[in-house]
Amino acid sequence: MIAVVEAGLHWREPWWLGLSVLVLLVGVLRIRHRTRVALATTTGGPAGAARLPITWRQRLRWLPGGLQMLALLALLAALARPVVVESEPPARLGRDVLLCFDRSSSMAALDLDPVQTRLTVGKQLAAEFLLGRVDDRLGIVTFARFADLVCPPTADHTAVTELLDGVQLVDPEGPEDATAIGAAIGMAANLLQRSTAVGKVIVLLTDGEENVATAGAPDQIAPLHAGQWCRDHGIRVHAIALGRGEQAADGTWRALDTTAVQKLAKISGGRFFPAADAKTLRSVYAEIDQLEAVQFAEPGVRVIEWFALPTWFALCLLALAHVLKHSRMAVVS
Amino acid sequence: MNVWALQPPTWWPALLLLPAFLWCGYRWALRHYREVHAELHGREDALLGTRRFVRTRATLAVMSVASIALALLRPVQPGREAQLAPDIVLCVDVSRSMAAGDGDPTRFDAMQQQVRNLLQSGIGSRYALLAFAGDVQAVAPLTADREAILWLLDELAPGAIASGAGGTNLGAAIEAAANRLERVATRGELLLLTDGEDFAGTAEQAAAVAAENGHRVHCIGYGTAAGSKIVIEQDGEQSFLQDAAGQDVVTRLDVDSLATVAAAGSGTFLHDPDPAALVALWRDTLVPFAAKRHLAASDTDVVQRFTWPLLAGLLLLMLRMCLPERRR
Repeated sequence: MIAVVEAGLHWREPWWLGLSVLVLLVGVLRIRHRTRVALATTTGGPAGAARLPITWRQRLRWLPGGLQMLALLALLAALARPVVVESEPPARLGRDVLLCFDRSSSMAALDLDPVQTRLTVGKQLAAEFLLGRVDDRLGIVTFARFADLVCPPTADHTAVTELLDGVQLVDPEGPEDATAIGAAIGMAANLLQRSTAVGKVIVLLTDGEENVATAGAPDQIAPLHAGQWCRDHGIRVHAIALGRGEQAADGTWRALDTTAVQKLAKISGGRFFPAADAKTLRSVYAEIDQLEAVQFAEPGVRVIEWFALPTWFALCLLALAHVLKHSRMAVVS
Repeated sequence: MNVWALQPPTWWPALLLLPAFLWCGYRWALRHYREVHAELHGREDALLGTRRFVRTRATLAVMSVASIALALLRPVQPGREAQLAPDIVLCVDVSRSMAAGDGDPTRFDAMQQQVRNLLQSGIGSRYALLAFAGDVQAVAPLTADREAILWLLDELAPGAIASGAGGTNLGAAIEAAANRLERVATRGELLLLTDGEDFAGTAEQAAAVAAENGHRVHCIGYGTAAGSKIVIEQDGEQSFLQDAAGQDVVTRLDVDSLATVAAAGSGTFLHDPDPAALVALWRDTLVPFAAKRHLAASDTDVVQRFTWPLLAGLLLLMLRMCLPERRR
């Protein structure tokens, strides 16, 4: 209810002011029940007293009772909850962003930078991208033949970059050296589908083609199926194809077949970006940053309670009434 | 959840003046009564009221002022969307002594089962996971994804940290856990899941520092004081871990040490093999504490309840004013 009122002073529970009828009743009762006190010390009896001049004390004899009634009204005002409503800037709504990072042995290629591998360059630029997403919860899934959860979505961005820094290449001679894009997207989507964030995004960074979910392995998750699953759960996948392709034994480069990855990005509502060098990769991250710009909630309000002011006022009135009632003034009241 | 807290304003010390004010008022009235008594020679009741009535009215006045003072301290209750569950860092001991067979079946298995139950029941909390032995390894940062923490927990095992530093360093684990919470600007609960063999001897001090920074350190002990040998598996065969002299290593739960660390960290020490022990700790200790802390600090997601004592104060005052001062 408060969210739709204008800024300014408001009563939050004005129905309490209806109790002023009760206060009025108390006032009437007090007047009716007030007993006139005979001035026992006066000579000449009541007739003699009537002839005496009326003093200022007598004129103000109603004051303690009046102050008490005013205190009751002030407490009623406090009960009605006077509030000052201030408008607040809209809150920034963060997304959940998961980075799917390829760590197959091909990421050791030096085509992005003469001295740094694709993995190193990819990690550096990914860290820059992630650190720029201050409002988002970030996570990391790495993959080669298998997908590994490195970091579930978290607001601890320092931990994310530390864990990203620890990502290592798989052994080129080992059984893990493959590219399971579908499995990685599947794991990331599984993590994100539990999220309640306003936006769920996967940024896939790979330099290879899917070679685990092939025609001969129907039990594996194909990239296209993973993309459909993402679409069904409102998860966008932005795919980045890293590097110039695969290097043949004679040193020539064979362009990657990115058809599956492009379809994966498109079907999920995301974009596909080729990044053949570090400069392009940086601009790709900047573009994704723009695509996934921060969202804002509805403008909010801040409610400041002001009940303390009339309450203190009431306490002061009660104190004053007490002092007056127990001073010399009371002798004539 | 029926949780209450006070949100005293910055000027709350001014409320301490109220008892002083009441005392002065009493003295003032007493002096006045004596003056009138001296003037009217025992007929003061006609002017000031019957003593019994005066006392009743005074009692009502004191009760009224106390109610109003309580209202000024702003009692609050949580709103519907209030985040009341605490942030928790699970510090899992993966030293080899956790493989000792005095758990269910091992200490590590007993710990894993308790944490699993906690993660399944402890809805609303965010969890971080640290593994430690001689060194500390961050397994998962603070996250609301309890299932992800479960996955990562299942990948841990005794001896999972291969490092030069042997033994168990509880102090380093506490420091790292507190650091995890401070990075995301939150105060939370540190659960130290261990058999308590603190080789570094820094745990008590680290727990005290964590408590100073607003984090409570709870120690959950596994194993028995009688101890057990450490089972190791090699090439599919089980044997017992031996020391340099070729003797089987016997590891014992250090109850006193853990209780001391928990006390230094303003937390609790728990040594309970019940698989639901951590769930009970979360439900009965951690959540109520976090809820109170949230209520005391938050302006949002709270329901103001000052109207109740304020209304009581108002009604008491009205009753006082309606009461006659003397018999009619």
